[in-house]
Amino acid sequence: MTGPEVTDPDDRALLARHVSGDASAFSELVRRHRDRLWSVALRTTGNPEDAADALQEALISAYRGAGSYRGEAAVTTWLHRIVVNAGLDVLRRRAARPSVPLPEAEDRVADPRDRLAERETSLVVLEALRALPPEQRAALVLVDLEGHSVEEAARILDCAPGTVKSRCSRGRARLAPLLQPLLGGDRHTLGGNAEASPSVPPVQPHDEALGGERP
Amino acid sequence: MNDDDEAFEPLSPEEEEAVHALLASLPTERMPVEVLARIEAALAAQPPIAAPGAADVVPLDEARAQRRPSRSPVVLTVAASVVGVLAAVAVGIAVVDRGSSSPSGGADTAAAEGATVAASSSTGRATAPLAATPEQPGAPRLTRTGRSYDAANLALLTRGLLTGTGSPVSTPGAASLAAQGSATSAAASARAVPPSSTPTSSTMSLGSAEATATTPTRLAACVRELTSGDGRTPIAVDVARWGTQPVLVVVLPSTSDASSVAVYVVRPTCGAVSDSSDVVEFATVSR
Repeated sequence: MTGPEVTDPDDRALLARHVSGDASAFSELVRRHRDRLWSVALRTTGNPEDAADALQEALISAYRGAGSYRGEAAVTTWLHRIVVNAGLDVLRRRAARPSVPLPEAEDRVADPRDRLAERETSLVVLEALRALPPEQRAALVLVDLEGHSVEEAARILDCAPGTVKSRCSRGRARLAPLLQPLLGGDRHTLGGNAEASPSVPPVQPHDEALGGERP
Repeated sequence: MNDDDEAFEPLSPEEEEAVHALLASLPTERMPVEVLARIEAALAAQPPIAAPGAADVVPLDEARAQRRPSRSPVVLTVAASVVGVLAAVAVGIAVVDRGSSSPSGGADTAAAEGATVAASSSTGRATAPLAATPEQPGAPRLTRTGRSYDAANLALLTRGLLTGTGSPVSTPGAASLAAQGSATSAAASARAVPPSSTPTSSTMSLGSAEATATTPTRLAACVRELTSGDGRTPIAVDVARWGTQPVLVVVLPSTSDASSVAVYVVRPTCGAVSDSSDVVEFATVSR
């Protein structure tokens, strides 16, 4: 994850200007990171309407709460945390209203073999992500799609790194069959004999227990 | 059993890497221009953020005085102490009020407890929400009304909680809150909820919900589940019913609007497992 570190001094300056009353600073910060913030919101919520609602809610919250930013994490990490939480809030509201259910998982990956373009691949993955529980989805979005380290994701999600690893592994396991056509193999031949990348930390059976997320 | 605990067949490292690589290869989504325009318009409508130390920040003492204009601190302290002792030993239900006549009173506690959203009053000033209640900083108002909430009365009953028409749960923290609020209980009685929402006679079956509300670690876990650990703390928690089932009504500061609260109706298992199915109902309610 290199993005936040490269731009963070300017991000912090923008945020400081906003807190000191510069009316344009926050909008500039939003424009600078708009696509990544949108990606996080869209992939966390699973659809553009909810993403727009969550992102607007999150950015207003960040705008008002900028004074609470203590500089302990990159500005983008702080923003991602607010956006992810707003997205999860949206999902919880939707979960509390069964009349607006998530689509059935079986309907989501409709004939992905025809979707060869990059955009179409994105749509297929987005739909597959919607099959995941929100917490697993948020972990995967941050680690795999947005490139945050496990430790950064843990800070964003306010849980232990072991919990993030566990959720990522479980999420990937759930996604694998949904993404089979894109991955080019069946469940037990994915990846062939390729070496596993060190970028994917394997989950240990006791990671969740060590996570300490729940008292 | 929640999603993090259920058994699953793990992928091999190669399989996991293949999924990871596919996800990592996706380009960043581009924000649609209409979404950017909508967000910029929403931000432009926001009042300017108050700089630290700005003149429009009301001092803590002044904020307290605004909430309790007719009583001296000495009288309040004595009254709170007496009623606190009574509340601690009393059996039964006492009507209390937390003593806030300000519509932003709930946010006072929440903001003081570390909420990350800077609340602002209708005039846009960062004022009372930064003031802590002196008697019980960090504690939500715990009540056990036993009322039967539903979608139609949720907003009304929530406002009743915020204005202090519930019965306190008999815990030391609640007793302290009772002491805190009793000084202005007359104000509370003027805002009684409708007869149709009167508490049910039996509260025996509310035990599981009350246990969650009065066990600090369980309540904290529930709040973390609801907020994803974003730092918000409850303004009020009521042990009640949704239809016939025992529930907790957890009132939190809204993440987006200081003039509203987020109300979660949750099962007593909230916090025991990390599972959004604990949420029975959610609503945003204006204060």
